[in-house]
Amino acid sequence: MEMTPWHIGGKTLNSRLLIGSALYPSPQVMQESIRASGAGIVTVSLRRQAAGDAAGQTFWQLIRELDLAILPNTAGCHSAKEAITTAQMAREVFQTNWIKLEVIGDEYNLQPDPFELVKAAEALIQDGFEVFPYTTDDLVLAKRLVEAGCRILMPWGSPIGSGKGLMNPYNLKAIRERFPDLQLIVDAGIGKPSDAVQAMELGYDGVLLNSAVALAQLPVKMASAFRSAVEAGRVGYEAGAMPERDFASPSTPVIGTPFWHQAEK
Amino acid sequence: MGKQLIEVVLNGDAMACKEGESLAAFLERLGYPADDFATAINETFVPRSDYDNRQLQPGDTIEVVVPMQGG
Repeated sequence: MEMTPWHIGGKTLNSRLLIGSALYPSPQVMQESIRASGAGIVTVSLRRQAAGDAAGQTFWQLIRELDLAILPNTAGCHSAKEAITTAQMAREVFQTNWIKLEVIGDEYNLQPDPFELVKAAEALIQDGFEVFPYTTDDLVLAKRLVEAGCRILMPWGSPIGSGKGLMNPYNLKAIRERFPDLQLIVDAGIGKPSDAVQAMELGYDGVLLNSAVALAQLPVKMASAFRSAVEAGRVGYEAGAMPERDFASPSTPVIGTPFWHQAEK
Repeated sequence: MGKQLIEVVLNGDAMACKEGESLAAFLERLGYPADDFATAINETFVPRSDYDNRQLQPGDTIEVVVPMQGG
């Protein structure tokens, strides 16, 4: 399939899929799945480490071998202050100014805190970061993030890890229509390849997922399915779907229909 | 007279260190590797270039973080 290259955050990529590195049954399956997905961007995180524990370095080596763009997140942060500090630490460790900005406002559905999110986005953009904010599908919040300087928005499809797909396509569509030039990525809630197709057909520029692949029965195979889904959705969007109609219209030409069909009219 | 011991908190655990010990010396003494980690003290990021000059104070809360899986 011929998909136009994607210009995102100063890089040019051939895939519009962003994939997470968590929850896989093993480090090897993680590596194989990420490769099979064809993703150009992989998300990572930061966690405390005791001296002498090399788990973090071992993981980082596996990720480096994939040779992909790195998108660190601020998962687990509940305030702008925590998220800003985490982003600054991530920039030093991962040597990138990209940050997936997560500021959680509620533990039940891991919904972003809109007020702290905007505050953190503003500060990080002033500090030279390319902010990928994980946000809800609220149009006014999207506006505030754009006013703060965001060039990329990542509205949720549904809560993180729920696999419920796109809960509110209407809201996602409204954000797309309101911000035609912004880079929009559906982040969170994707469960099935058809969810990714739907997001791409709405005109979203990319899809970020993790659990849908990592928790599949066959993660590597599912990664490959998502690769195809994102490509199919994007190419379909670029091709332009036919207008929907409320009535039937025959696809077989009616001119020259044999005589025995005439009586059925 | 030797330097006094002070208490700091590293990744949530109380630890003793010498008064005035630099962050660089503290981390090296504990066996942290040369790179691939970052630190914050009292919730403020400390760039690697400041490790030598940053002297630990009583009650400092130090975070040391490394790459980890994330979505």
